[in-house]
Amino acid sequence: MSVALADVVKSYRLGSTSVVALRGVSLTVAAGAFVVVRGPSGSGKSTLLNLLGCIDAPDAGCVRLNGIDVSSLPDAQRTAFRAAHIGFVFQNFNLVPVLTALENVAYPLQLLTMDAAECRRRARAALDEVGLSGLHDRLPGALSGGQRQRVAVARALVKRPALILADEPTANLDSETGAQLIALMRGIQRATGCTFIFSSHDPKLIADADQQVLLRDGTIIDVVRRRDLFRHPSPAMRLSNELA
Amino acid sequence: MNSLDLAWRNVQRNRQRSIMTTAALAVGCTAALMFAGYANDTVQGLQTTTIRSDGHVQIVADGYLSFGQGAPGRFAVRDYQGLMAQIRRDPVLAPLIKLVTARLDIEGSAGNARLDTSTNFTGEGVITADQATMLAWDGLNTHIPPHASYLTEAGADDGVIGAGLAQLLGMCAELHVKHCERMPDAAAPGVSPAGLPADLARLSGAAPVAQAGTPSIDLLAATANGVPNVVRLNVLAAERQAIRAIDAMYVGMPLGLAQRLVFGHPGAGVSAVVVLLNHTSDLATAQQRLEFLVRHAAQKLDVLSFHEVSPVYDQIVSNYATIFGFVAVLISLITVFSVVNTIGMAVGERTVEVGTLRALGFQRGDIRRVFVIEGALVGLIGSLVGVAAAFVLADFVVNMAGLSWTPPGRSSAIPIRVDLLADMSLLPKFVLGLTVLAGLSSLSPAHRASRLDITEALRHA
Repeated sequence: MSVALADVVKSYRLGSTSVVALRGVSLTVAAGAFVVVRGPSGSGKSTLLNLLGCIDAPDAGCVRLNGIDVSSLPDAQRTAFRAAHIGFVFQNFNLVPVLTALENVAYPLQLLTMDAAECRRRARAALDEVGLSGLHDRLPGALSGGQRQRVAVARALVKRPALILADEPTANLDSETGAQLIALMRGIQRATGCTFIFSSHDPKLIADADQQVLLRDGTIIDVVRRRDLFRHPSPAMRLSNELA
Repeated sequence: MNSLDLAWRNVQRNRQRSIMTTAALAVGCTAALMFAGYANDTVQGLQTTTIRSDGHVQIVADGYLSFGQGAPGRFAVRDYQGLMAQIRRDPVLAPLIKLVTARLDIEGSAGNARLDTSTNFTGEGVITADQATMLAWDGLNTHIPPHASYLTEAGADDGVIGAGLAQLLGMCAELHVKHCERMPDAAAPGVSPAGLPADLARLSGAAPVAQAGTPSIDLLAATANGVPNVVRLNVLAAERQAIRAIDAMYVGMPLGLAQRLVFGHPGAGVSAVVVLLNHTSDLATAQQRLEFLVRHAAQKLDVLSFHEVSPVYDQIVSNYATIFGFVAVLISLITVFSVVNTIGMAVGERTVEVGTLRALGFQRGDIRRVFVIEGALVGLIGSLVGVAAAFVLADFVVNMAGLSWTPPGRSSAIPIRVDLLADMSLLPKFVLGLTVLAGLSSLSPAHRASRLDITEALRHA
């Protein structure tokens, strides 16, 4: 899925104060790219991902996914678009605690009017794909952090979305587990060809990305593609690396 | 994963809170059911005593209810024997009917010549052979003991009077009435027949002389022609009536004697032909058929159910219904507040989960449905527990405790019972009603959950 933002502005009210999270952001991401969004806290990373995921709508500007202007869609249509085309991996896993691993993965498939048997078959396959065979009937409380995040990745993947968004997916994992998850996500992304956009401070995740988007104070200060990273590292990227 | 399964798991998530909410609903449901069962049993008892007294249907002359009390002769059913025979042989009515009988209601003056005492009386002339059947009717299976009366064994000139009437006429001693004040002995001598006006002396002389040792009273009433008439009643017993005013005036006698008093001879007419059915559930069918039968009668007749003959029955039923309605409103309020609070707290605790589900593509309606089903499930469980508790309390506590009371219209006590099965639709109505109410109560917090901003919900701590 190709992604295009054009002069996107987004602000929030915090009490009586209005905070501008994104100030006229424009960005293009090719279909099938593995993209990381970097920046210090408060730079607008999560806001950017929320807009890309159709969870929120911009105050101004346009968000196009595969050429469709999703920013002007009413809530019900944006929700249906998310159900069909976008997968999410959250920092805190966000699994439903009363559902087993299999049920957590299968649950969103019901939105695609699949019959129950097909939902379970695809959910099992997705869990096997992320290396969780044999843990299908475990509740999230009985899984480790890494296992829960794998379940979350399986949930994001199971409907074969064109776009997967992950907000700090390895933030709550140890480095070894985080590295395993990165490798898993990269492998799946290469195999499926979906567009993968995530935010992270993790250097390993950043290093493996096809494209890095650097945000500061609600604006994109640099966008670097992987092939350019070693040939011509930008001053902004160097500064960002030092700060990281 | 269906919504019901998910709702059931979520209800168990905070077990203590769910138990408290279902317990509140269960207690309310139990209380309301116990009252309804008690009201059912009381109303059934009231209906039984009413029907034992007045039958299911009465056929009266047109205008009797409005004017008959003042002119029983004029507003009498004339060919009552033919009408009774017609009813008994009717193919539609025959399988429904337990008894067809007749009665004549009269008012007049009752006197004890021996002591020269007199007072007003309200009397009923009945077919004494039918009284045992009437007084034993138990079509509603209330197991209320049959009302015993000496009237069932009365001879042609015999009858019974109220205990209060016996006291007023100074007959406590000779009738062996308990709890009866005896009149002081110093009384003015009675007027001898020689002192009476000629017409009254003739009437007095026409009445049969009471046998020695047999208590008797003279009954004076206006005949159908408006002239006074007197008969002598041999009093078999004084039977205390439930209502004091009636007890001080009641006279029960054979129909023939009442007819002699009103018409001068037996067989001339009755106030009402009384129809007693096997089951009250056949009332509408029987009344409709009777109206058809009397449509072409020589005399214009009205067909009245016991609701119309005894309007106090409907008034009491209505009173119980009003109280029950009040109780139901209270229970509903408890349900609403409990469920709103429980589901509201669940929404607060699962804000991140709601945001996640919305992000994954669940519509607002899907979120609402999850919480409404949870609320309805709490209502269903609470009502089922309440029904079970009501059965245990009713059958193993109240109904076995041997409690009793004396209701209006009776002179003896009857058991206090809670009958939950008298109205078979009561239990499913309660369960369904509480479930639906709990579901509706969940709409407000569910709607709030569905309107949560996704980004804020995901950030919720």
